[in-house]
Amino acid sequence: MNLRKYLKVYKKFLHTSLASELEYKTNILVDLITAILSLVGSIFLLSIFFQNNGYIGGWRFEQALIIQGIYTILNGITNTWFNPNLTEIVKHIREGTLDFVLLKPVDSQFFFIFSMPPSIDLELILNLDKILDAFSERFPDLHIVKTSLFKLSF
Amino acid sequence: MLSNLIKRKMFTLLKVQYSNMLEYRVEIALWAISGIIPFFMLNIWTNNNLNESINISDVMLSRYFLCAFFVRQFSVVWVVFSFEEDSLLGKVSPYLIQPLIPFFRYLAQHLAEQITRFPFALIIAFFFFIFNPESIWIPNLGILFLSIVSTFLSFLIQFLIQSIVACLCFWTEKASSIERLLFIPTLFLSGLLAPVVSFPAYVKSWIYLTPFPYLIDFPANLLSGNETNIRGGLSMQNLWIFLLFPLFKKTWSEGTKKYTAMGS
Repeated sequence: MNLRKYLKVYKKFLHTSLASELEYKTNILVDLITAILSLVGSIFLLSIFFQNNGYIGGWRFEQALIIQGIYTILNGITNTWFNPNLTEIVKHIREGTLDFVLLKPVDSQFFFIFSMPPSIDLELILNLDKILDAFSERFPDLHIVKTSLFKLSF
Repeated sequence: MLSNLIKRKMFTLLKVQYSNMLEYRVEIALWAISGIIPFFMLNIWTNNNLNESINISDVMLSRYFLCAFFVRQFSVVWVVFSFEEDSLLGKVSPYLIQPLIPFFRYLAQHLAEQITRFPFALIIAFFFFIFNPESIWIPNLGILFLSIVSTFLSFLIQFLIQSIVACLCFWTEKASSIERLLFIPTLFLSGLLAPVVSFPAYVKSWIYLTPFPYLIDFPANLLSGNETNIRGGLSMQNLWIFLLFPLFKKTWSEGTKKYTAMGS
């Protein structure tokens, strides 16, 4: 295991997978809209639960929002780095193309974990915003952090 | 003659696809298990007494979510994902040469999957009743028949919408993102996670004009014996099919004209 070599390979993986994702531009645009809508949808669902109740299981609406946000961030991480590759393994096995991967002069496990796109996950960014919003209600200082973070990301 | 031919072809396709699906039965069982979200939702509703505000008793609500589970099980559609893959890999071309619209193949695939899924769904329902024995009920035959019809209509609506989206592959090559976009309102507005009656008034005012509540909420209400407008629901389902079918035919014929064999 040569760390520098693998870092280099990972950089190449990132490059090619981003390039192949960006090949379908409308696809990315629609995915961004989907991410926004799904966030709107989950907040809508939460608001249905809370429309006649102040508390659910001892949680306030804002607290539930934080949970929702953290969940979606973790979900975004698995969707970005793990899920696409895992489904890919199945396909390789079924179609008999796994051999080509095993023959490559890199660690096969490394290949499987990192070869697929870290698809651009807007949900991650959107959620950071939401969580910070919820926190900043209690800790006003955080609002400054949030705005500066947002300036950074654009 | 023609209808006979289609029937024979459909029968053969179904037989082939059914044996294909049986081969992957474990996967289908896992898919069936992955559809139990309504039960989690039921727990949220009843454990926090949220249903009191919408005037549905615990028992009726548990029946509703069980039926929502069933309706969802038999109206899952993935045609756009299959079609997109086939189109990107150039498999659509050989299908186009055959004297049969390829969508019959996908339709048979879906129906065969539903038949394979049926026993698994029954097992899950059995376990549901073990944990909620008070919610056991037997719908009368007429209602059962009508709800099977309306579940099938719901499946058809979703199949048509997805087929229209799938036809967009002829233009954009990757159309599944549009399907993922459409899935969001389907998930949140169809009644899978919360019955439509519980929605706030500003949503309820327009939601019945969209196809979404007829996908899960209407058939589930019908089957579970909750209050619903049977005639209105069925006619809205039919209306959407009548609107979507010509649109599908149009996009299909335009798309095949536009098609240049990808990958082959």
